[in-house]
Amino acid sequence: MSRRGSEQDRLFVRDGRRSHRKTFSMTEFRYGLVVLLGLGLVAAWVAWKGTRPDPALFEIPEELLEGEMPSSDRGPLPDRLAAPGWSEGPLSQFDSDNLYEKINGREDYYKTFGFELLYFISLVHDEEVATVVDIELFDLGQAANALGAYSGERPPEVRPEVGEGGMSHRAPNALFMTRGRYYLRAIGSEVTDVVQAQLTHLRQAFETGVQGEPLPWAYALFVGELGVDPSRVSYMRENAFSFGFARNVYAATLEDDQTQIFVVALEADTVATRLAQMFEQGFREYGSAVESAPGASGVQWVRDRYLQRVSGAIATGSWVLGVRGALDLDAATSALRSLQSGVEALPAEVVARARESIDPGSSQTLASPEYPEEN
Amino acid sequence: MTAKTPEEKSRQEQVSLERRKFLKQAGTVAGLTLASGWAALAPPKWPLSLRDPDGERGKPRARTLHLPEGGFVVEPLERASLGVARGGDVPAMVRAAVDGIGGIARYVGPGDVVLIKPNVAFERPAVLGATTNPEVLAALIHLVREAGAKEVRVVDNPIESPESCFIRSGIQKAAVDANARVYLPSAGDFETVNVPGATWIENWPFFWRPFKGVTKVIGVSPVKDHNLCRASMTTKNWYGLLGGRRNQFHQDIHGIIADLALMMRPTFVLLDGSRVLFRSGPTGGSLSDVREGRTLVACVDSLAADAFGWDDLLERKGEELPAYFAKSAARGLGNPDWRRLPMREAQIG
Repeated sequence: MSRRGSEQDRLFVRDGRRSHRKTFSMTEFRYGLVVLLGLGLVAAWVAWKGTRPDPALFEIPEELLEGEMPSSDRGPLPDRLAAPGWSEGPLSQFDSDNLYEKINGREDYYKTFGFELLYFISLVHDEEVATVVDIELFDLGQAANALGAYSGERPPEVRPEVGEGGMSHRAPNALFMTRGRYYLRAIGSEVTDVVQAQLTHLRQAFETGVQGEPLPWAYALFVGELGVDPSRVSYMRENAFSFGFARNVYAATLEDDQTQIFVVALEADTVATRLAQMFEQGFREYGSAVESAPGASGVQWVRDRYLQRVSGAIATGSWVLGVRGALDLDAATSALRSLQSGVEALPAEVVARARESIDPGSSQTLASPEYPEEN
Repeated sequence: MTAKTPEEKSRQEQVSLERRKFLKQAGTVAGLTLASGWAALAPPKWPLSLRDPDGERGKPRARTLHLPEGGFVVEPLERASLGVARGGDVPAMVRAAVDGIGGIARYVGPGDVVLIKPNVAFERPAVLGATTNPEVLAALIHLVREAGAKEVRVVDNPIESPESCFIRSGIQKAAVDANARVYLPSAGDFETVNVPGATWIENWPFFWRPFKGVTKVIGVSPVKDHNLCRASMTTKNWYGLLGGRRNQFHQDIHGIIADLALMMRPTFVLLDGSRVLFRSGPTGGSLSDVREGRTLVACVDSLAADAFGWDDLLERKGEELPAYFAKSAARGLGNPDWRRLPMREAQIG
């Protein structure tokens, strides 16, 4: 056929390179019909299937029917967060780059405590959709950070419950707790029985579903050796007492609500000596040196020129021990002595934990032009 | 000289026509070539030059707009006074606070299109104090309507999901029930606004669409502790009109708040101290961080209103004011020394 077609008169192109025929091949026409028919059948099949979908596509996994999501998508969030009568909303995650989209204006607070991820999920009451409990679970990398962030947000008048795996307390509408490296904030929209029941359910779910960790080593010092209430212990990962050089500082406020004793574990004696000097220089920015009693601990005390409070720090081995804001020299000396005794009495296991927690780069941060090394 | 035959004449005319046509075409082509060459090769600053050696001219340019010169001010700052209302009856308190600065009729008249900017920054119920109290907003809308406003618009640009924030905070319902129009932000609603003299937002995306045709602007914001700037009140509230990646401003939070004071000169502000988020702000979350304030403050000077809030509602009297007060005052944008202003205080109920 094609040969016959090529023999036809040219219609438009007369240079012989292309062929436009007056007639067409019946064989080609028939093949064309077959192809069209095939396409039509495909279209009909698609339309038919569209009206009769595979039911398996619409099957909801059992765990979703129970208001849960597959564990693999939930990070550390335990299964079955929703109490009976409640349902989970979608889970979202925020990292350092987009945390501000969730808590704009407060994200820096958590970043100072080593923020890694925020898991957010809302629990909605089935009958009253305006009744919700928002779960904010902050992954702060270390138990010390979680406790530090938690302690910073806990109202001073609230005494936390101290458990084996962390601390917690309830507000009228909310639950706050730490479990290992995680800090949980569960915020209820109202103070009602259903919200309270959901918060209780959440507490149980997190206590059983998220691995806790022993409290950081400094609690063994302040609480175990010195008898300080755990609610008075705080951890400042950076910028402690507004000193840019002061990192990984544990502090405890004494019963007078003014005096703070603090401790930093460091990698070497020389680093500790340097840091103690920097504390002294820092305190001197707001005051002047005062004479210590003869035979005293060797610390150079500084009296604040505005508040008349006494502060000082000293290196003891690879520890820096200090007192801030004591009412007078005697109180400062006494507080430091008890702190020194507490450190000396620490069990070897606690000392080993303190050593393990040392930030290996801490000595590098002590090269501060603001506080030149004294010769 | 022999006469030309008709064929010769016709041929000569044809040649003449063709020459003329050729010259015209050649001239046109030459002109176009020269013009193209000029546009392409002339130095960028020469007239009609399209030369773009560094690609800058090819970049799309956002339209730059300006808010009205002098803002939406009716009463000058020099004549500012404080209207303070205390009590529990919110509608009466709103009226009393505004009466304390001369009454709503001084600020809003028939035909005005009034934009009200509450703080809807977070997806939190109003009782937690992180957002404007919807009761206060509703009462303010009614008051503005009563003054004859043609239209009332309620506007904010939360960074969290705007729909969720407006619904969860109760602002959506309060505004709609009070017959105001709610504007939720979408990408196309922002235009670059020029704020002459601003440090951070001289040219910055601004939630522009709801401002079209607006004649009066009122800010109504809660009293909150703030992790970075220590206090978030009426001046910081204008942050919610900005677009773009706003979190970068946190590097100089006091500088940006002073810029906000420069950007927006409102008709007046209403400081909503019905609740006070005195700790863990600006997000809050625990009712333990909220106390009853039972106070509303109206003023044309947002610095004065905020300074009152700092002393009286956040109860930080004696503590140094956050740096943005001094920065804004240095620009002549208000007077943080609220005690020097005439004050009218009303106890409601």
